[in-house]
Amino acid sequence: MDFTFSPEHIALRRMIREFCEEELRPRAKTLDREGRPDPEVLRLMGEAGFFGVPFSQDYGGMGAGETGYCILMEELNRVCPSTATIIGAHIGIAAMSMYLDGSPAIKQKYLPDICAGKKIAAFGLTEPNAGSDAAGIQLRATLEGDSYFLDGQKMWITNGPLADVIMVLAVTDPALGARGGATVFVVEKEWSGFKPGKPEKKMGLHGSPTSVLNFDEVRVPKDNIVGQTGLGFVTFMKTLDIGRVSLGAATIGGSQAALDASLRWVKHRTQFGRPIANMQSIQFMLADMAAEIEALRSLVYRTAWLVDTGRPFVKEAGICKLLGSETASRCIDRAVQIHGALGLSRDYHLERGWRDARIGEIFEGTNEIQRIVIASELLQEVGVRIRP
Amino acid sequence: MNILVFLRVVRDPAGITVNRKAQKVFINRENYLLNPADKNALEAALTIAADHTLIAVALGGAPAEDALRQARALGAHRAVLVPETLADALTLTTALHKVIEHMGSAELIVLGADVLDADTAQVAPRLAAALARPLISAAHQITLIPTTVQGIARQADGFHTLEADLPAVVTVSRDSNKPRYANAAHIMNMYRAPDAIERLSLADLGLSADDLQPVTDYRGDSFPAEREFGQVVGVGELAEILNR
Repeated sequence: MDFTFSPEHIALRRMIREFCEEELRPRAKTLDREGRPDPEVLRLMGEAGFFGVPFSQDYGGMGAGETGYCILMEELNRVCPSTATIIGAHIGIAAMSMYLDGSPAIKQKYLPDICAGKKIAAFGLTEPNAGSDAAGIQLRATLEGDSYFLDGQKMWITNGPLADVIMVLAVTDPALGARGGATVFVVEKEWSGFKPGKPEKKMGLHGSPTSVLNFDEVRVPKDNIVGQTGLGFVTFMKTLDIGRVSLGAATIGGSQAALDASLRWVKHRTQFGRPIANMQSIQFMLADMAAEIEALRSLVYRTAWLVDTGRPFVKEAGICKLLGSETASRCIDRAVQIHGALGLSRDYHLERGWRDARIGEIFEGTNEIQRIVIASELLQEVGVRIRP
Repeated sequence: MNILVFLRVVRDPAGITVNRKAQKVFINRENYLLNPADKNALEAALTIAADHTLIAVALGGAPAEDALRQARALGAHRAVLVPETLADALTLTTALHKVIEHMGSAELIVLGADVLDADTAQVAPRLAAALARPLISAAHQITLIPTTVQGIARQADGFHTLEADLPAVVTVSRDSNKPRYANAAHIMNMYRAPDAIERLSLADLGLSADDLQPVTDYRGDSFPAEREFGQVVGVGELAEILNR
């Protein structure tokens, strides 16, 4: 067993960390307050190659694999969860679905711009009546000549108002529905009939815009199908499987930021005549945070290794997302407790971290869905097949 | 033409604690950084390197190699490692001089103006003297004008534009520019490529251990007394003190 990162991944992390400290940290509070991303920071991230970290250099990616992508998500989420979420939706699910199942032609057409950050991507799965029950999608694609016409609505789409290209899962055969009758299409934002809604007002992730996407007779050429017609649900589910690993990586960053802030504070905050670092009640909270973070880090990077080496990873990926999001929520909550009233102050960053962490237990498959995924993998190992 | 940038690695100050009471320096973490002023020197060189060959040079072990791979990822065209650890300004200059001779030509040599650890500020002037070249110290910005190099440098009475005929040596001030970020793909490629770094042994440079005998020697650490805080006084009290 070898638990060391390669020299290139160490160097990648160093560059990303420097970038986050120099460029992102000074802007993170403003992004949250103003409720929109900073185009300048996105441009700089594009130059540094952040938008294509895991993908092959053949398609304009950085060739850093899932491990490199997990490093990116951990570091971004340590400093600015909003920006991490923009990247997470762009790379982890939107571009990933094209990368996994797209034809070489469609990948050549879109991925170089996506990897360079010239085009922002979004992943269109959730609908008003299809959340955890993703198979219940209704957005309809009707074939006329050599084009499909898309009609319907997607909801809670990360990057919705920003996206230049959108991967959309639509029903091409209502008789079959999601199981064999749903197809992934690439839609460009300029196309007639496509309209993103206004950014939603959310509890957290204010700097990462989320909106509905409206499709009114949007004509999509057949060439813009990703993967096989009818098998789009499989593509999207495979994408979500892999996306859970990097979501787990992001939660390491959030949890670590909470622990680091707490360690700084307990050294200086004096009560009852001594720094609160000397209080056992505080020490226990610090120790619990460190223990959970250490376990999570080992889990996530081992799972990234499973992905990079072509081994089965679905169960572990579900565990990354489940354990990671709950660890982050607990760690940030403890950090708020350690900081007392200061933890709630809007002038300090913990309140933002607390609001930003909560979505981790909901998006890209709620934690209840993760438990079903994990259980179905476990049961399959003993010969019981359940269908979530 | 060849532009040579000399890179040095230093211990990360965040990994060190100094205990004055115990008269000891504690190394908590073995962590090395590219010397901050050298980052600025590399950035200054990169901005003028478009039509030239930028060669990064470093002496030392694994941390020096890492610095060179960083430089390649940032855009240096070549990187040369001499796998020898030399601590003394004279021997460092001797080795560097030989590297330059080995290279054939290096019309412009760029170094950081200060080094985070020893900060002897001797290597650049010694090198300029050894090569009989002009030296511009602590430039904030460098420009190439076909046969000369121009540097804007701060001196006691303000900023001056200094010009030197090529070949020349220039040192670049710390924090004088904003170093760029290496593109992630370049990092992956340069850390994976076995041939990203060229290696020169002492034998390649025509040097023996005898040529590199240090002239300085280490006699121990000394710890200046901690500076004491002054006293806070009101205006009236201050006037009284001054009139005493």
